[in-house]
Order: sequence, then C-alpha cells, then structure tokens
Amino acid sequence: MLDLLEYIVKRAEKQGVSQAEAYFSTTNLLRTGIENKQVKISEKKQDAGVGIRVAIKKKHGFSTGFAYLTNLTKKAADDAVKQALKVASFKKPDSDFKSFQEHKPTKAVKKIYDQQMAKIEPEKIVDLATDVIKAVETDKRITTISGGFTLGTGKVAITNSLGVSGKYEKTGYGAYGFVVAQEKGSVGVGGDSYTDCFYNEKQAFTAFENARDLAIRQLNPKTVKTEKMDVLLQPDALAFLLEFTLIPEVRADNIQKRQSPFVGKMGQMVASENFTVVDDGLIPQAMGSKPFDDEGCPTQTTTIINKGRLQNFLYNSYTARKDKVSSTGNAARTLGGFTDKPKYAVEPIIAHTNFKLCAGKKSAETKFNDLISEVKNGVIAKEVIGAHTANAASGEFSVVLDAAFKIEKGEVAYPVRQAMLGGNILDTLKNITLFADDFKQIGREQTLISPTILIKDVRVSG
Amino acid sequence: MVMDLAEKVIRLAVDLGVEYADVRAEQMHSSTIRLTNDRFEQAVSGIDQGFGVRVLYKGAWGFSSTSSLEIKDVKATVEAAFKIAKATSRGVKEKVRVCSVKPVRDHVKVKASQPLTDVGIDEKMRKMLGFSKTTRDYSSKIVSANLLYEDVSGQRAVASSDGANVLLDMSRIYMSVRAVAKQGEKLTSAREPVGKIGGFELFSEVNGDEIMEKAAERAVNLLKAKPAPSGRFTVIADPRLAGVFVHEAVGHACEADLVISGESILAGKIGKVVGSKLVSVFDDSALAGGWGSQKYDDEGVPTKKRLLIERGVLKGFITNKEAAAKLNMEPNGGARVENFSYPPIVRMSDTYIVKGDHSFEELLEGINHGVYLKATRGGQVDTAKGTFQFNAEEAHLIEKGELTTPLLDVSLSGLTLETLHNIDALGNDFEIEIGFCGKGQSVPAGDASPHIRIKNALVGGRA
Repeated sequence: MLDLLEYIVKRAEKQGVSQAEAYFSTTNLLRTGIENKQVKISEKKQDAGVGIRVAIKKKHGFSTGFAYLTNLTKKAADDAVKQALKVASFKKPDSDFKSFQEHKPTKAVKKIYDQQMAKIEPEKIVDLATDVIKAVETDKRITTISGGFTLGTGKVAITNSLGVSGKYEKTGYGAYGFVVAQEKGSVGVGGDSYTDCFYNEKQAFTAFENARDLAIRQLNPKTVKTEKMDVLLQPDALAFLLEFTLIPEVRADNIQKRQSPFVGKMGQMVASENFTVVDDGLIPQAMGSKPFDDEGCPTQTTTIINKGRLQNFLYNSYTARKDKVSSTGNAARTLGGFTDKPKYAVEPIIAHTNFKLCAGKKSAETKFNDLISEVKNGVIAKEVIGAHTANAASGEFSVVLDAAFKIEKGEVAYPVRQAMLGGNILDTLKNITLFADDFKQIGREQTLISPTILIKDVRVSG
Repeated sequence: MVMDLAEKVIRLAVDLGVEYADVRAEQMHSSTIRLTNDRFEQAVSGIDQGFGVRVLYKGAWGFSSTSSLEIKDVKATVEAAFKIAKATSRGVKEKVRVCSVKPVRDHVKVKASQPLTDVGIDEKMRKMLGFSKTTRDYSSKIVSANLLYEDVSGQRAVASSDGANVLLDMSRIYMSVRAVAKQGEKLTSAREPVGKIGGFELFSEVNGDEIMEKAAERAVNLLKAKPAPSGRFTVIADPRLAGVFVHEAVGHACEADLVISGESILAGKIGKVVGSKLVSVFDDSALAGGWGSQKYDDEGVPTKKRLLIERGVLKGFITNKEAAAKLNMEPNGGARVENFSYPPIVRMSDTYIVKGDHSFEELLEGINHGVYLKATRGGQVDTAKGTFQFNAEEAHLIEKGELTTPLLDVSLSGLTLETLHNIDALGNDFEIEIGFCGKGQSVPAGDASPHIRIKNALVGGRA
C-alpha cells in the first residue's frame, strides 16, 4: 500500500504542491449480534480508502486541500489529487499553517495487535454468544437479552513530503450486553460493555452478567427528593459526560477558537487537587493507543490536569505551531459525537487517545466498597442520558442519571427512577473528592479510562 | 452498472441455496464542509462505492460488505455472507422468516435542477463563506458561526431474491448553522437546519441569509436568559421540541424490530390506549417533499404513510420483511440503511403529531406557573423503559398565562406513556424539522408537530 501512497505524494508534488500527504486505512470487522435472547445475524465488513492532503504556497501563506478515494487505483487517485487541489486553490492562505507533520522517531506501543484476532472463525463467536446467553438466562424476570461481539483488525499507513512514512496494525475487541427484566409492570434495564485490543471470552461473560444483575436490581425504582447530595459517577457515565464537556474543552483548537471554559486558565486550579487527567497514547492493550497519530506524529503521555492544575492541552501539528509548542500527538481523523466515518474520509483534527482519570494524591484513592460507605446521602449512576446536549463552549450540562441507585448511610438503598444532574463542568471538577479502584476502559478509537468518582454535595433533581 | 452487479449477487446467492437474499450496491459522490467563521475545518469530497449482501440461511442472517464494485469480488463477498449465515445458524433457536412481497422493477428518479455533482466543491465552499459572514455580521455579540454542509448523490441498486429490482437515484443536500453569541462570560448558541431531497437549487428556493440571521438573533436573545427552575410544571413545547419528542420517544418505540426484541414500551399494546385522545401520530415515508422520504425502502418494498397512534390508541408499527412475518403484519417499507456497508434495519422517515385547534394564546391560558420550551440541542431515549430527556435551546417562564423571563439550559425529561397521557392541548400550527437519526446507522429523518401542552412535566434547570 505504501507504493500507492508514494505515487500519490509524487503525483501531487509534480502538480506543483509544496507538500502532500497520503493516509491509508482499512478495517475488517466481524460482528455477531444477539437479539431477543438468540444469535440472529453475523456481519463481515471490509473497507479501505486513502485520504489525500495537499498544501500549496501562495503569496501570503499556504492553503491546504483534502479529498479521498475508496476505489484504490492510480486513475481514481489522480482525480482525488485534482479535487484536493481545487479545495486548496479556493481557500484563502492560512498564515498559521507552516507545514504538515515533520518526521520524528516513533516509540513502539505494546500489545495493540492480537495475532489470533483475524484467525477467529465466526463459529467460535456464535458459540461464545450461545454460551453467554445460556449463562445469563437464569432468571424468569429476564425478558430480553441482546447485544453482540465485534472483532476488528485494522491497518494504517501514512506517507508525506517531509519524510513521514509509517504503518501499523491494530486489533480491537468489543462485547456489549443489554438485558431487560420485568416484574409486575416494572421494567429494569441493564447494559454493560468490555473493550480491549485483545480477544477475551471471560470478560464477555462478565459484561453480560453485569447487564443482567443491573437489570434486575433496577426493578421497582423510586424517585428521589430534589436536594444537594453526593453523586458517584461510574466509568460509563463519566465517559459519556466528559466526551461532550471536559475532553473537547481541553482541545487546543477549541481553546484557540475561544470555545471552551478553560480559555485563559492555563496554570490555574481548575479542579479539585484530588483530580489528575492524563492523555496517554502508549497504554498497552488500550484501544486509543497507537505508535503515531493520524498525521504521523509520535503519540505520547501528556498530563492535562495535574492535581487540579491545568497543565496542557491536546495538540495536533497545526494548533501546536500556532501556539509555538510541540504537538502532543493528538491529530485524529474523527468527527466525534455520533458521526461515524472511516478515518481516511476525514481531515485530521484533534482528539484524545486514552483519557485517563486518576487520583491527584494517594489520600484520594479508595476501594470501591469503601467509597460507598463514605456516602451518607447520595446517588450512584452507571450511565448518564443526554450528555451530548451539553454546551461545550460554556461547560454547562444537564443529564439524567441512569442505571442509578440511592445511597443512604453508606449503603445502597434502592434503584432510582429519574434524577437529573445539572451544572457546569468547572464546578463539578472542583467537587471531586475520591477515586475508587474499579478502572474501566470505554470507547473504540479513543477511550476514557477511569474508576468511579465521588462528587461531593451537588444538586440532584428528582 | 450497480444494478447489473446487484442482480449478479442475487443470482449467486440463490445458487448457493439461501432462503432469501437482498443486496444494495451503490456509488455515491459526497461533499462535507465544516466551516468555523472563515476557517474550513473540513472541506472533503469523495466517492464511496461498494455493495453489501444479506442472506438468510437455516433461519439465520449473514451479511457481508466490501468497498469494491468489481465483478470479481462478487463471488467472494456472497460466499462470505453465506458462510457466516451458516455459522450463525448453529446458534439460532427460533428461525428468522421473511414475508414475501410482490416483485417490482422500477427506476426512481430524483428532481435536481442543479445536480450536486455539477457544482464544484469550491463553489459550495464559497456559498458557506457567504453564509458565515451573514451570521457574524448580524451582531457584534456573535463570536462564531459554525456551518455544516453535507450533500450526497448517486445511485443505489436494491435487489432481492423475491423479485425486487429497484434503482434509486439519490440526491440530498443539507446545511445547518450554529451561531454562538457572547456577552461577558456568558456564551449562548442557537442552531438552524435546512435541506431537501434535490440539488443545489435549494439555495435559490430558500433565503439562506434569513436562516443565518434567525440563528444569530436567537443566540443573541439567549444572552438575556436566566438559569431555569427545576421541578414539575405545566409546559408548552414548541413544534421543534415536540417533533423531537414524537420522533425519539414515540417513533423509536414503534420500530417493529425493537418491539420484537423486547426493547419497546409499546410492545403488545396495539389497540390499547397509550396516550391522550388528542394525540394522533403518523410516520410517512411517502410524504411529498419529505426529507426522510424514499419511494422504496432498502429491501425494495414500496413505502407508505403509516398510522402509528390514532386519537390516543396505538394502531401500528413501522415494519420490515422480517418483523412483518414475525408479528403477522403488513411490511410497510420501513427498512433503511445508512449505506451499502450496513444491513437494513427498521427506521422512521418523517414522523409527526397531527395538529389540533388551539391558538398559542389559548395554550398559555390558565397556566399560572409553567415553562415554554423551544427547539432542542438533542436528546436521548430509553425505548425499553420508556424514558426520555431533551434539552431545549430556548425557554421562557410562563406566569399567569404570559411569557415572562427567558430561560437558559433547560431540559425536559419524563416517561413516554405518562407524557403522552398528560398532553392536554395541541396548537393549530405545524412545523417540520429535518435532521439525521442515529440507531447504529445514521439516516435522514424529519419530524413535525404543532405546539403541545403537557401537564406535570419534569423540567431540569440550574436555578
């Protein structure tokens, strides 16, 4: 594939561009779906394409252009180069653009490729699904079991005019279980998932069993009073909430566009001193890990918030040059949110790799069970609903706490029917006091890795 | 070309001895532009092509797709689908069946006086720059204009082993603006979408600049808004928010695949009262000019107007061939795909609440202390539990029958059935909003409604 990429870069250079870049990605997916307590469909998908970027020099700076192709022939590549040139010719020069990513040596990332993944036959997954259903179908109150397993293998290659030339392979595994339980007109719903770069049957059982237990424990919920209380957010809830608040808000592009409550707060305390966030693209077996980002810049470990103090933002090469710093290796070909396009069809912007939340100091760490006993009056929520309606520019959010339980006097008391948590992410971060030990990885191309977190004394509406 | 390939796929699948097969083969040109002020975050054009084949064998589904349109790849892809259907069949307890439909051969053309492929990406970018400027020029308080432009056009061939041979010409254009206003530390935003099935002539049919100014005006007005109270109130939802409610909370629960899998609160309730007598709901994929319309669905079944709720009584679901067979209902053309790389699933098209007879003033009458919610930043539902949550973009306090303080960051949440019962008045107006619906796959879907009044609704604010 590097041959076609080199052809494209040379072809563009011949047409007078100053710099060119060609990025190839391909995925092969095997998915087996469970619906209505039985295996019903398996899917096999193959997808490949090349995204082309060019930079042309004009009197007052450079302009860049982009186009992609899925028909991987030289003829289609020539047409796509023309399209990219058309875009670059139209755009006003951007004085902040200096260059695509220059070559830098990359570090090896451990354990992002599972040798056996591509060899697993669909029969094996179907049997796994059948066994999982059997293991979970243990209670008469269970009316629905659905979910599925996804096994993916992917390849990425990149070449540009500045000597960047690299490729890597990665695998991904996901198991997702969803269970509904019913009893005397009450409906309990539970979902749980597991993601990792490596195939793992045991964790598939765990995910479905967790979903089942949750669905049953959610039966016959009660409402809570509207008042200030402690809120425990579990990793899934945090992943969804932060994807639309904190994570975009520490992206350098949003800071430069002044669309973040963190503008002007570098070096300041923006969270409780118990709170530390690291973006780490080198964690073994984490789905967001890779040797280089989607422009070819080596990935790294970047501390974003250190013991409550804002220390860094997430950069790609463009925003880094603008702020005269080094790229943090966070260029990503993703549009975020619910838009799911192949990587080759998206111009690189910025995204996290593995966003890891941890205690800022030892005294803020505790065991999960001890965390529950800390709470006199509060709610624990596995999920939140509606986080994507948050206003990332201001940090305001309002979510429904879902898969939630009331905690009274240090013990889980009863399932909660509907409770809402609203506020500003900056205030919320300042109220974080404790971190449990139940770290979980959530996400596909980018992940959040976090334990359950205690947020003190916030307003919950019943 | 795509139809020849589709027919070959079906022949090969039938030769393998499958019970049923369908295929979608397509070639689509697309453009995506994301513009923040005068900076293009994305200006992307590309051609997506490929086909996806689904086969039913021993009561199990197998699906395989590839981003190739080469005849030489047909055999391997069909065989892959067959092989994984066979593998899947060992886990099947209750065999999947599909109902048959009448064979149909058709070529559905689309009207586009200015075809999207005739307009260069540079021309599209120029248009967006102009709109961005209009938005920012509206007021010095507008700090940014975020524009999204998307178009897709091409051909999709749908063929099935029960005799569907449908060639669908496709052409869709969509644009939305989000205007962000700022005063002191306060940031507010408002969004307006526009789009249609057709071509670039959209911009000579609608006044794009007016749409930009409307978004800017709403964002600026929101700067005066105050944090909202929380608690239970009588609320009025405007057509845009009510439309999202009917789509998210009601429409999804009427999708027959979710009904079958036990993930819908409306399962088993056909013929039963599920809401106030005032409420009638349709999903209409044959709606003339409808954003989510398609003459045939992606299983090759003719689409139609579907009655979901009639005067509070649940009347029907949106079905595909599989759900229709399972529930012993008519297939009504509800199977859709995002593109060739996905198997078809049950989806909405354009979903709406039928309008009533109250003027807006009449709706306000008698509300001593309530909230008026307008437009939405999105929402989320749990169709199994029947719960929903939506964030309004704008809101006003209602005091003694009048709109008073403008409110910020207000959400509406509740139980779908309880809310449907608590609707006690409908406006005599009607407004359609276009957008995209995600259910693992994103498809264009529209929703519409009059103003609706809901008693005892849970409002979440920050005051």
